[in-house]
Amino acid sequence: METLVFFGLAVPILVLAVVVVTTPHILRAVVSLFLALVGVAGLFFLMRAPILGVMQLMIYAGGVVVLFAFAVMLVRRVTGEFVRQQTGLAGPALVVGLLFFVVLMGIGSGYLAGLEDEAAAAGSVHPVSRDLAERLVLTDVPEEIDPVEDFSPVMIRDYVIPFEIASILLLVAMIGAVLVGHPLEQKHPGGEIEPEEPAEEGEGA
Amino acid sequence: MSLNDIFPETVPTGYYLVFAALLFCIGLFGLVSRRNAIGMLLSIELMMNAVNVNLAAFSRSGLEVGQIQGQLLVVFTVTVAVAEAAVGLAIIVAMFKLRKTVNADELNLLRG
Repeated sequence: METLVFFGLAVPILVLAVVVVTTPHILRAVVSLFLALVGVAGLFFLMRAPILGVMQLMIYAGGVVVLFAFAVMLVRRVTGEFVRQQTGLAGPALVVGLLFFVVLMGIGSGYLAGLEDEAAAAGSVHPVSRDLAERLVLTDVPEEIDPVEDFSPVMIRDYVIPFEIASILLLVAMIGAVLVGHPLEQKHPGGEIEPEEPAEEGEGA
Repeated sequence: MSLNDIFPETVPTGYYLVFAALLFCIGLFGLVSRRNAIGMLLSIELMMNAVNVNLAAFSRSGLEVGQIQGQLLVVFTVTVAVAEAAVGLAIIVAMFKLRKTVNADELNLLRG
């Protein structure tokens, strides 16, 4: 039953992802990305991680996609329409993507087979890895935990330093985005600007 | 009433891993084949989400039930991804103001 829900979410997400990377209309790609991110939020709920699902909806679907839409409109307003979205590398890109998938699957299945062999050869030497292998392939009922209640003590007590560093990172990113995106002085109307000036401007951030 | 009452059995973690690998490879394809810098950033967001799904899936099937560290790691990766998207889009907008293009193959300032 839950597997049905999983496939009901996963297949549309993958289709939307293909639309994101192939459509010639960039705004359509942004909308597809929005729907795919909402689907991933559903997957988080299915994985018993409701905090991550809510975060995904608020941050990605609510914030990042709106940011992307604004950027598309800012850039598009001047250029008119976008033409020729793809480089000439679609074929090699397809090969790279497929090859990477094959490599990932090979590593994963090889690792799993190694774990099983190990567990079979030496019964109780690696109970931990055998347990992991079982959990990867078996469908068992997870024990009752409360991910919401367990979350905040771990985050605020055990991982408070990374938490604060993340806030500093966000502050730096915010200042950097403002500095980089700040309207530059219009000393050079229309013409090409010398390469040195934008380089200095960019490094100030 | 919890999710365990509605769904008495769970999806194997391997399904999530295969799904995340597919999503990551689609994003990789987009990153290589897109010409538009905004489209490349969209593809990077797809890949980031695939990684987050992976982390959450491994957190669910962790070695010790009740550990939440994997989900916490997703919080930090989302933070980094959002910072990256904000700075990247600012760079794209600034680049467009300077060069009047956002196509990656026309940006050849470093060619020398």
